[in-house]
Amino acid sequence: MNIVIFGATSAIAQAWAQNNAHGNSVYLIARSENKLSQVAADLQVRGATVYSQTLDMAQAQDYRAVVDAVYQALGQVDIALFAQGSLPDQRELEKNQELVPEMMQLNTMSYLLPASLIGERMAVNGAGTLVLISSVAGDIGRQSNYFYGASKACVSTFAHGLRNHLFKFGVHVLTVKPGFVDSPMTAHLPNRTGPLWAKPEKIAADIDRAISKKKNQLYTPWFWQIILGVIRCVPEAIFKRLSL
Amino acid sequence: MTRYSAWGRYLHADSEQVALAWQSDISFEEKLYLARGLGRSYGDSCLINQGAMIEMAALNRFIAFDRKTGVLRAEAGVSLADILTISVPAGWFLPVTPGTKFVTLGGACANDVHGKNHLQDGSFGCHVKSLGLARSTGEVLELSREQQPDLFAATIGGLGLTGVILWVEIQLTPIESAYVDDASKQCHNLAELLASFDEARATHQHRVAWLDCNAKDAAIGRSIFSAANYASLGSLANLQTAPLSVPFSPPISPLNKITVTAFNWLYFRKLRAAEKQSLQHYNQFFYPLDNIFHWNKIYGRRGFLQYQCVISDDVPQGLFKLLKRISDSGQASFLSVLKELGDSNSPGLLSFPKAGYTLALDFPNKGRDTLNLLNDLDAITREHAGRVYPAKDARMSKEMFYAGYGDKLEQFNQYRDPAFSSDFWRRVTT
Repeated sequence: MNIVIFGATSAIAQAWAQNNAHGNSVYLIARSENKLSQVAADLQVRGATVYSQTLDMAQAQDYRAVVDAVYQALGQVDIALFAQGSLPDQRELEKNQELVPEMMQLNTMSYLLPASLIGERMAVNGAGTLVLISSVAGDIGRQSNYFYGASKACVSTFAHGLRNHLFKFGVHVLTVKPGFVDSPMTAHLPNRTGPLWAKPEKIAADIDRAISKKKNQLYTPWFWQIILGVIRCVPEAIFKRLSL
Repeated sequence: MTRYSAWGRYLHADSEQVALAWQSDISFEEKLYLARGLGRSYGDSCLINQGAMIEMAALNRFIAFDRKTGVLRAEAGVSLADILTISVPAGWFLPVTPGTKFVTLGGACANDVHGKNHLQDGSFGCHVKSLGLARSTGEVLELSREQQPDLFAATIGGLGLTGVILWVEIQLTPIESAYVDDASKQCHNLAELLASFDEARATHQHRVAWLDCNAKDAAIGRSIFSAANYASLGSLANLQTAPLSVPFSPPISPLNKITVTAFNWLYFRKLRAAEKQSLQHYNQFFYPLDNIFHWNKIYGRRGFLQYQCVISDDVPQGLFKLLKRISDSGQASFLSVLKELGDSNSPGLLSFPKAGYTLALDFPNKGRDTLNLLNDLDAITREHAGRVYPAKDARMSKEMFYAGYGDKLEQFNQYRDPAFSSDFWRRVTT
């Protein structure tokens, strides 16, 4: 299988890539050369043929050139995984608006642009899977993280439309919506234990299953679907008074 | 604060959770630290109450593997199971393996684990070529028998007290198949069992016995003895059997004298003939319990205590006294394993193995009764120049620890990192 991973040094991407290394060709894209080379070495030992490219997706990029390079190396793409992102502090973003465009570049633009390009090329082949890691935070706007939530809501809606568009070409789009994940992204949050917190390995295993079952949307772990279902039922007149 | 438990679920600790995602992320503040792998130590050597627990799970990347020479370098959070997944198909096995593959490389080094082939192959540390250690001073060092050999010796079997092991390079053992040739037989008493160990010494690399600890009088030492060698026949495939999982710990443990006696009786008679040869997959021979995830929960909420000692002087007498004391106590021991250990050529200062026989047993936690029994076992062990294995221990006294390891303690203390400690260390040294 030929795989491209955007944000290959993220915790979920690493866990997923470790499961999907053996016998596959993998193209890794991330910002840090040092970290990327460590991930590449790991996947190589696990039996993958590895290509890698450093790219700072928090800055605007020409994704046409990036996607060209991916196809040049791999020939074709069977799975494209998008795992890059950052979770800046909500109050910080309110105070320093300059941080917002960078977050939007990383969390949203670097998903939409290359996913659209790769989707088109997969359509030509009549096969392929795009996996976009969004978040439960994109389902509803919460006073505690609505800038981040907005960036993810954009990804979710985009993926929804892309899924619709690519279905007739035999290309599948999976939207992954994790809840709380114990990873470097959330390392600044206190007490990352308890039943609501999942490990990256768990998310990765759920993604594997969802890909093989051709699921459209994956809440991981499963109970987030229920939690969000309940929250969505709360009338706005009440919700706006809460401190979620 | 996060609640951490040990494998015996008998001791717990509340510590600050420190996740480590990249080797370069490591940094130290004014705290007491201890690194944690997969938490398979039974007692408090993997706990540090009110300290900072450095979780090594995310440091699980391979660094390099030479498929021709069998030299493998990986981050300390890589598990032995992970290693086998990639090494076995390439014709390489772990040179030494403990009874579970769900331990990390770092944990295997820090406890200098041993297996069923100690006499011939030594302990894990014997096969470590080098390792990377992070000290609280900010130094990140590469250690080996040539580079800073004294700190290397303190780190092997050093229970994580010299710093954080970041990566390890080991020499794997070549194999022709993923299977072992096993020869098992019933032994009716201790004399027959020890004779079996003797007879198989020259011909079999791996030797182990499972004992019925409820056997009385003349039947003390009743056991099933197994001797094995790596097989030439068989594929190099990793077999995944469908694992069971104990979903929760029952309020009352199903293990008691009656159930355990019944189990032992059935297990002993499982070997229908007196002797049996079979070709077993490595998972079956080396890791039978790994197929039951969370088997430790079956002991119930009170948890259990594991006791592992080595008897060095007058082995037949020492083992007999141990087994008799256990059998007299009536405290059901579910899993009792006997192995022979050789003179250790491991560099480890606090390494457990020494020449003799090592017995490992589980006891359900019955409070005072269990602790008294284990103190009696300590006394017998001491009489026979033995010692107790820190990785399994939850209660040995300071005196017992000094009796077993005192000769190397002063040297070890020179290399201990003052920013590292464990509940075990605090218990046996203060």
